[in-house]
Order: sequence, then C-alpha cells, then structure tokens
Amino acid sequence: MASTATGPASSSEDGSPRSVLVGVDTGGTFTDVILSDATGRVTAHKSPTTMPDPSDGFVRGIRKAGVSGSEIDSITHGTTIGLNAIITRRGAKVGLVHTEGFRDLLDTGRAWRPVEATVDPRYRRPHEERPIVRRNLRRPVKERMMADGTVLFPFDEEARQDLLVKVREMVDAGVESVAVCLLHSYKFPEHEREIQALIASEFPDLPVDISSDTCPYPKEYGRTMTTVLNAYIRPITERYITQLRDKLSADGYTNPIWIATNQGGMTTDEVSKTKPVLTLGSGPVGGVLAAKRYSELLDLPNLITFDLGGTSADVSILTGGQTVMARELVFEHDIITTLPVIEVSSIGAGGSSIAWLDPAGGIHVGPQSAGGDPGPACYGKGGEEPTVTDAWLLQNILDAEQSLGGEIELRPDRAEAAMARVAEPLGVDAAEAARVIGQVANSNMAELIRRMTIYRGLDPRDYTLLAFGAAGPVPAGAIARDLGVGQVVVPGLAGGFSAYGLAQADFTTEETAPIMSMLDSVDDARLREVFGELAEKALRTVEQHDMRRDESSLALSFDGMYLGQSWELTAPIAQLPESGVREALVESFHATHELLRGYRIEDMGIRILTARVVAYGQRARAGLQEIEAGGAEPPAEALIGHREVDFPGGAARTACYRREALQSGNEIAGPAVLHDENFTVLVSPGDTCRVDAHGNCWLTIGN
Amino acid sequence: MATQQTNPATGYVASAEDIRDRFDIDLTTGEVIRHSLINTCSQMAWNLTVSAFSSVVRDLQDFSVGIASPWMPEQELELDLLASAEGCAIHFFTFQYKARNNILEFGVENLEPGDVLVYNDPFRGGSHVMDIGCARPVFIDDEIVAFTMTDAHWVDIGGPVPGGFSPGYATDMWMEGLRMSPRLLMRGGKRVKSTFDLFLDNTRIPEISLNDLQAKAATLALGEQAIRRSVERYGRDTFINAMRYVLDYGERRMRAAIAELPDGDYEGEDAIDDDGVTPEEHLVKATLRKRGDRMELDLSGSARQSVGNANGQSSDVASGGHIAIKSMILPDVDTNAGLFRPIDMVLPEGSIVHALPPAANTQGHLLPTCKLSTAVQQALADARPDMAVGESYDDIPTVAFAGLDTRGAQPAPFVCFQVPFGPFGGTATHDGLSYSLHIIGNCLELSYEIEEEFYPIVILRKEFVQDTAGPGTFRGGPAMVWEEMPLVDVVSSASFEHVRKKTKGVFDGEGGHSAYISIVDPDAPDRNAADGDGKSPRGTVISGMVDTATGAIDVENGEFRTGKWANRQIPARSVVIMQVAGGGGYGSPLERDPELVRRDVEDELVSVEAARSQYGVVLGADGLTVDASATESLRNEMRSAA
Repeated sequence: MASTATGPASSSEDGSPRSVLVGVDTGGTFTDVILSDATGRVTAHKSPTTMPDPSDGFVRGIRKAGVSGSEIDSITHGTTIGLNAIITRRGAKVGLVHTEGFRDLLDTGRAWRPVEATVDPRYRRPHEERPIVRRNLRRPVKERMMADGTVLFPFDEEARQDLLVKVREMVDAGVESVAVCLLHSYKFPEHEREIQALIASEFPDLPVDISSDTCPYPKEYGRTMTTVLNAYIRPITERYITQLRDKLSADGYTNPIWIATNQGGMTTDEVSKTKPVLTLGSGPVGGVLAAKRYSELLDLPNLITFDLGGTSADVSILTGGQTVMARELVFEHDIITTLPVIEVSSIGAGGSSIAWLDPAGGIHVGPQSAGGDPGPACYGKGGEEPTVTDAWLLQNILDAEQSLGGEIELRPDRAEAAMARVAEPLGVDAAEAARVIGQVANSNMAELIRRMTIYRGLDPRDYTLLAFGAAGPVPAGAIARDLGVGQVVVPGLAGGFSAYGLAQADFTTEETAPIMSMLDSVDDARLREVFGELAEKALRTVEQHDMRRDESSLALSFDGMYLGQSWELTAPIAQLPESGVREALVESFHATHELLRGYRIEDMGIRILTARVVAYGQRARAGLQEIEAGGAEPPAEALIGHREVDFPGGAARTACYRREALQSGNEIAGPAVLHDENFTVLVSPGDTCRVDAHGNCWLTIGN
Repeated sequence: MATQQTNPATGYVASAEDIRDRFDIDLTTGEVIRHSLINTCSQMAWNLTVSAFSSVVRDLQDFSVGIASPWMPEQELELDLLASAEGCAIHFFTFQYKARNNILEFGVENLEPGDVLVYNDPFRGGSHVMDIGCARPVFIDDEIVAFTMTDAHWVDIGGPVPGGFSPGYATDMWMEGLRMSPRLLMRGGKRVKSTFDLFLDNTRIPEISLNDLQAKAATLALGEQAIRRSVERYGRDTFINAMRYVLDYGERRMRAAIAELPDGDYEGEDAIDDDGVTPEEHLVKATLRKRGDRMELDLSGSARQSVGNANGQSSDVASGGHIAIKSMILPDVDTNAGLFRPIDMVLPEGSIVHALPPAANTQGHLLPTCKLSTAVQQALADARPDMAVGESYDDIPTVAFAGLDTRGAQPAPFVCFQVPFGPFGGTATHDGLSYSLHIIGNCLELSYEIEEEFYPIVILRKEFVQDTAGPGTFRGGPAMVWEEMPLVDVVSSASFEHVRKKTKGVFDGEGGHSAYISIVDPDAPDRNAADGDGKSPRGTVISGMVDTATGAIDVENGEFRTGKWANRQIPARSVVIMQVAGGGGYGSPLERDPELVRRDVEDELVSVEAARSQYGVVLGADGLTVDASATESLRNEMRSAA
C-alpha cells in the first residue's frame, strides 16, 4: 500500500540538519502521510483511513513512515471530520439564541433557489429537509441594536432572566452547545458578550459561540449559519483532537498539532477545538498549499491548480505566488460559512462522473458519479453507466494493464457495453461516443478555469497549469490547449500532493476590524491606527506560537464597495504609504473593481466595511525528492510499448512509458502516455514532455 | 420553424448524422458551444449581480441576461434567445421578444460595433416601464453574429409614485413613468449623453441609475468577448450553425416532455383580487389542449382589461405561460427559444392577459402571470400528479417607503423598495418550501443589517406564523409576517394579493391563510408586543378581509380592504405589519403522518388545537406525544362527516 518516492536526498543549503516535518491528509479512503526527514528526503506513505476514529489511521500512517513522535519537529494535519459531520448531519444538538423576531433565518436561507430550481415549485431547501438546528431549539432574546449602535430594546434584567429559563429548557432538551447571533452584533457585540457571560455563569460547561467572535462580519444570514456550524461541529472536533493529542503524546510528540485552515494557513490544535469552522475546507486547501510551495520552488509565480479526482474537478488560482481568497465556503445550497477561504472552485466532473443523454440527445457529464463503488463500468464492479474513465479507456489513453497500479483490472468490454447507452441513440460507435464525452468533459473543465481567470480579468496564457489528482494529468494538456495555456506541470509527487502541502504550510492568523464608514470620512491617522493595531495583534499571535516576527509577513486589505452596492470586494494594499493612505486605499479599490467587474467609477463614494490584516508566520520547509539524471532519450526500460490512442485529430501510434522509470532530463515528444502507479499523463501530438530533477513532468503545449 | 422527425427507436434524440445533415456541424462542436453559451450567461449574470447598485438588481436579482441569435431569417435565426441565466424567469420569453421588436424598429442596419441600445416601452413588446432592456450587437468584421442582452428592473423611472408600481393609482400608461422607444445608450463604445440625460433627469435615483447603466454596459461587453472567442475558435459559419442546432435541441427537449402527457384538454383558473381602483376581481382562465408533442395554451374567457394597472402585456403573459408549463413538465432545463416553439398561445386582445394601449400595467407585469401559473399548475395536476403542487403565496408583493433620511449630516431622499417573499404549496413527497420568491422570479434575500444601514427603516420581525400553512398530507409552507418601523415620516405604497381569499390546495389539500397589512400607531401601547397569530392583528387592518366589529381577519365574511394602495402617509415610528398568504396543501390532511403533525406542534408551526381541528391528530397531555387511538377515532369521525 505504501508508495515511497525514492532517490538521493537533498540537504538544506548550508548542509545542517533540517526539521523533520510530517503532513497528514485524512481522506475518505486513505490517509496520506508525507515525511520530510532530517536530510530533506521526502517520502510518501498511504494507509487506510480508520472510521469512526481516524486518529488510529493517523498514528498508524506515521509509524509506517518509520518515525516516532519524539523524532518529529512538526506534524500538520488536514481533517474532514467537521465537514463529514455537516454532510452527514451527525453534529451536536445545537441551540440557537437569536434577536427576537428572527427565529426562522436558517429555514428561509437567503430565499433564492439554486439555478436548476429556478422554475421548480417543488424545490426543497437543504436546511428544511435536514436541519442543523430545528425550530424548536431556536429561542429569541428580547434585545435590539440598531444599525448606528442605538439600543432600541435593552438587554435588561427581565430579558436576562427570561433567557436563562430558555437556556435551561434547551439543556433539558439535550442541547450540547449554543450559538448566539444577534443583529448588528459584528459592530456592536455588547449584547452577545453579556449573553455569553450570563450563560457561562449558570452553565459553565456548556460551549457558547457568539457570532461577533466566530464570524464578525455584516450580513446576518451568513454570520448566523457560520456560528451555528461552529457550534455544531465543536464537540465532535474537540473529541477527535483530544484523542489525537493523547495518542501522539503517548508516541512522544508534544509540539502543537498544526491544523490547516480554510484560509490556507495553519492553526494549532487548541484553536481548532474551539473554532473548528476555521478548518472545514482543509482537504482541498492542502493541494493549494502544495501548489504554493511549487510556485516558489519551480519559480512559477502564476499557477492554475487543477485537481481532478473521481467525482470533482477543483481549480484554484495563484497569481504572483498568492492565492485568491473567497468569502464563502458552500457545503449545500445556503449551508455556508462566510469566513475568508482560499478559493477552490469545483464542478462535479471527475473520472467517475457519469455521462448521460437527455431525452433530446443533449450530452451531459456529471454531476452524478459512480464514485469508487461501483466505480466506472470498466472496473467490472457492477457499474453499468458510462463514465469519463470508460471514455478514456476506449480512447486507449488508459491501458487495461497499466492503470491504477494494476490493482484493478480494467475491462474494455464493460466500458464498451456501457458506452452503448450514449452511442446507440446518437447512431455512432462506442469509440466516437467516447471521444464526444471526453471533449464535453474537457470543455466543461476548461469553462471552470475560464470562470476563475478570463471572467475576472486574468489571462490564462500568463499561467502554468499544475495538474494533479489521480485523473488530472490526463485531460490537462487538452484543457491547456483550449485555454491557450502554454505549459503544464505534473508534480512527481502527485500522490500525496495535499499532504506535501500540509507538511510545510505557514502559520496564518487574521485580525479584522469593522469600520463601516465612507472612505472619505476616515482620515489617514485613523486608518494607520486601525491597520497598525491589527498588524501588531496579528504579529503578537505569531510570536506566541514561537515564530519570529522578523520572518513573518503581513498582508493588508479591506472590504469595500461603491456607495449603493451591497456585494463587497476585497482590495489589497501592498503597504501603507508614508502619506496619502486614504488615496492609496481609494486607488486600490478602483483598480480592483475595474479588474474584477470591468469598470471603475472615479467620482463615486466608497464605503469601507472591514479592515483586514493577515500575518504569515514562516515555518520550516520540506525539500523535494530527486531522481536519477539521464539524457534526453528516456532509458530503454521506461518504454512499455506502443499502442493506438484516439485523439481529437484522429488515432495515432503512441509510445507508452513507465513514469517512475523516467530520468531527469528525459524529453519525450507527443503522442505519448506516461503511466504512474497513481496517475496517467497524456502527451498529445504536437506537445512535448520534459522530466526535471524532481520527477516533475513539464509539458509544452504546441499550437 | 424546422420540421421534426422523431425516430421511433430514439425518440427525440437526433443522431450525429442527422445533426451533420441538417446543421452542417459535428455533434461535439454543437454540444460544446451549447454548454459554453449557458456558461457565458451565468458569468454575465454574476457580473451584473455583484456590480449593480440598485438593490432590486443586485439583491433581488430582478434581471436577466441572455444571448440572442442575429437577425438571419433565411437561416431561421430571428433574434432568438440562445441561452439565458439566473435572475428572473419572467423575463425569459419577454426580453428576447422585446429586444427583437426594439432592434428591428431601430434597424439592424443602423447598428455599429460598440453600440448599446436601450428601451423600455411596454407596448413595444416589453413588460412594465421599470424593466430597462439593453442589447449590444456582437460584430465580427462587418456582420452582426449575435446580440448580448439584459433586462433589469429599475427602482424608479419617474412617474408620480416613487418605485413606479403605483398600485391602485395609475389608470393609464402616462401615469406610470418614462417610456422610451429604442435609442442608443452607447455609440461605438462611448456614452450617448442625451440618452443618459433623458434617463437621469427622469428618475428619483440618478446616481444609482448612472452606475447601473454602466454595469449593464460592462456586462454586455463581457458577453461579447466570450462570443468573440467562440467565433474565433470555431469560425463564423460553425458558430451560426451551432445556434440553429441549439434552438433545435431546445425544441426537441420540449416536445419530448409534452409527448409524455396524456392527450387531452385541461382547464384551470385563478383570479386577481382587484386592481386597487375598483373592487372587481379579474379572472385568468387557462385551457391547455395537448395533442401529440404540441400544446396550445388558450386564455379565452379571462377578464376584460382592468381600469387600474393590473393589466398584463401579451409578451409578459406569454412568458408566464411558458414558465408555468415548464414548471410542470420540464423544470430543470436551461431555457432557449427552441423551448417556445412547440407551444402556441391564444391571448385575447383587450383582456387582462393582453391589454391594449393606453392601459396602465406596472402591476400587470406580475399579477396575471402569477395567477396564470396557479391556473396552469392546477389544470395539469391530474395529468402529472407527481409534479402537482398546492398553490404558493401566489403573489409578488411590493412595498415602497420613500422619505428623507435624516440620520446623516444632510437629509437625503430615499426610496426603499421591498419585495416580500412567501411560501410554496405542498408536493407529492414533501411539505412546501417555506420561503422563496414566486417561480416567475428567483431572488437573493436582502441582508436586513445592510438594509438598515441604507434606509431609516427598522425590521422588527420576519417570522413564520403559526397555523397559516394550508393543511395537507404534505402541507404548504407557513405564511411569513414582517413588522417594520420607519424612523422618519414616510410615503408608502404597497401591492398585496391573496388578501381576499385563501390559497388553494390540491387533491383534497386545503388552502393557506390569506394575506393582510395592518398599521400600529406610534403611540399605541402594544406597538412592540410580540404576536402575529395571523388572525387578530395588532393595529388597524388596512388591507385584508376584516370583521368590522372586532378588527380581526375573517376571510369568508369580512369586509374587503384592498391590498393595493399608493402614497399613504405613515408617521415615524409606526409599525407596519405585513403578512403574505400561506401555501396550499397537497392531499388530505387526515392522511398526514401524525408524527409530522407532532413535529410541527413541537416546532410551533401548528398549534395543539389546529393539530386536532385541521389534521385530526390528538396529542397527549404533554402536548408532545401522539395519542394514536384517539387520533384514529377522531380521523374516522372527520372522514365520515366529510
């Protein structure tokens, strides 16, 4: 089960021993462990994920890597425990305390229906179908702040007594944690804080999350949902982290367990126990972090990351080495958190996505997926519908003998039988149907990337496509061609890529302050003071985690909108200038608006909502594996043979190589297929592939 | 229109060979272009959403974006909608029809690269004056290969009533705001000052309008770039052929869906409460004649056109008819003009569904189309019981508050325009959605916190109301109530439907509670009391069926007070209470799983009394367990009484 990347070790530049780093990515099926040892040598290990307590598989995976806890300097972890609790609705029983009059916010959502239900009167909202907090556990508190901080209804003694009665009722009903969200509290948190203290005084063991702490941003729906989700996954996350801590301590590891955050940084196990909502997206984030590291190591500042697995395609963008942040993490329609998150955009199109015809012959790929079980029809495990993998097999891109490490025998006959469901009504043969499906799937994925680039003013031709995941390196070349992208890189460490990213990610912490004013009414001194205080706070947090202030970096930004808009935009500020701070903010907002929305309005007022400062505390870096050097010609033992592969321009005789046997410096002209135990790289006619010292494959896309 | 041959073996699927023969295009390219047109539209929609200034566009998403074919009648391309996105379904048919009329009137030959046309005249194929249409030709060399289009609701386009809706006030089209024939908004990429001036001089919201016009122009340009990329990639001829393929695909999709219904004539009807000027009800009568894979929607027998502004434009009503049919047989399919081809419509002139000039029609954009959707859904219930639904709150209510915001350094005029949403009806498998916009639109809810930043209005309550859902095996969604307190004196208008009657259930499901509006005086002692039981509202009921002796709602025998009024003065710190109707139920409430009733009681959506009287469910003394035997005998008693 373990796949170990071998090769001579690289050492740190001055030859001194490096930190021993471990990254652990707990996925649904496998736990990936990446170890970067004291010599800088990087190895990857896989072990089965253990349920219901993944901490067992975690520890087993580390043992498999051959290190004990006392030898490890840093363990970083990406977990889906909270995410799974939300998806399966196995979180805690939560009580919600809300401003009187707003009991039904969770059920009303933001009122909209998803696009596919635009004219569907039968639509059902996920929170109504499977509530996180049912109506009977939502209790009003008599209080009301107005937008300007005027107290309309005070939180008086009567309200306090009334609230305690209600909390008692909730506890009697079995509530394990409480979320409090009041209107305008992100600006005026006083009532929420009083309530938190009041509940703590009577129910000291009851966890209470207040929205002004958990998600101090305007817009009550997102803030409430975020706070509720935190309360929902808090007990289960706390239990898990505690178990993990105990097991690792027993193994001799006493440093913090670093947990990846949605924002692309790390936080400690202690923080993640009380704010687990920060770590919900840590799965895909690992891949982005690895890409960020690659961006530095390979000097590729502009990257489009393309992670294709069985059921979904995930795309993110790095520009100048920086990730793009989004405001929302969406789990189901309107089941969201509205905290900053590295933007990873997904569509339901992967290797196991099912291709189907609608009654008029329109071709669709996904979002239904055959998953891993039964999986694509060619797995021969009972899947009868044609999938993208079946299409690739029929195009001869995949090879029955070589794929999936030989663990699953691929069955072209099954793929062909399944393909008939699409082929027959269209009056084409299975091969033609496979080609159409392959191209429709590629075009959908290219469209996803367009959405993240062209439509936001970024030109994909300025980027390199970094393709990973079991399926990513197959269509990457074709997608790059479609987008005009000239270069594709497939990391040699594509198995365990996320864990590699986790192993060495920086610590991040964000401080924010609401401003909620017109920008022209805020003077330079105030701006300097606000950003200065936030930066100081953030840097202090970095220092508290034993990282050096002088090795930290800061990213300043603010959320703003033109007067009259209500969708905020985050505008970056490189650094505060000596003078003209406000002018710099104004210009940054105009420029960002022009880039992302297509125009600027010079004479329009700008409302500044929130000031943000992120501090990055630098942590130790892992190296990269190195492979044997060779010449331009691949070694003879790498060549498996030749076969006919079906490309959009027609079938071509194609050389097939074993990826692991390729050497640094090898150059291969397309058409070619490179088989790795974990993935397959397709090099189309006209494209070329060069292998570098780390086993990365660099594809140059021809015209 | 292209003739259809269906293959007995493959139904409405066209073979790759057919597609090549008919459209000279390979299947893959056709499909890839079809998907990319849809993607481009969703991108344009997103761009407009996030950059718009008007709350109605940015939050209510009362807009549509789309791509239309060029005018090439010899190719059977007649400015047809190829793809559209998000926003507001009611525009789907209307906005291409409106664009076509206006572009042809202006003259395709008079357009140049970088031009943007703007138009809003209801009687040039439009909807109401507040929907501002824009279209931009996409030139490749000297030829127009496509148009990008948007239609977006303007918060104010002049006229005597802020917000434009003028419920119960306007009696002809000159009383409703500025009407514009097609004219250039942009020429060769530059703003046309005279048009901007005309616009900005005639609205109460010039700043918002200036920016939203620019956002629209930027959005149209975004769509144009995407189309250019496609044409560059596939070539002009292939792109044009793909358009024909896309429309043909849409047509086959709709035919396949129609063919599944049993042949027959289906009838349904519904009525508009009134137009606010006279108390007259306006019937909307629908007869669907389904034969093979075609369908006719005949609205003969609908009421004469109204004196007030409840009048439907024929294009709007046709749009409503398409949406209603789609909602019952093909809800999840992307719209293009091909879907319209197999459906014919009969819209009698001079009626409430096809008003003639100089009829007022600002409310008519919404009311007849809402009623039509109910009529069609009720008509098709027997043909598709699996898709049938109880009636929704069946309205697009509107409320406007205008006044002077005195919170800042300088008093600033404001118009706060709101669209309260409501519940849907029960379905064959689950209770009705409790809160969304009527299917003729689809909107994102305003954030009340942001709303309160912008306007001196405090929203004190927005909650479901107990015992207002139409009972059923699967009940409708509960009614929603709002309590709002203006901090300054305001002038207000409102339009509420279903004030006069309950909503309708389906298959023995019962109706949901009717709507009302009441006002509590600033100095009333119970001004901030919590209530909202839906039957004995606080304050004075100004809209609703009122028992004049008690002031309570009595939907059967009460006195009718219209839900449509304009320019009402409301003093600062009054509380305005507005409740929409509850959704209708599906199936007999006596068949509802008693556990679901118990759960509703626990959730305080249904009272213990209503569990008994409406559902025949008897709860134990604790109010939280079902008394099974008492329930069984009560239900038997109720069944035999019925």
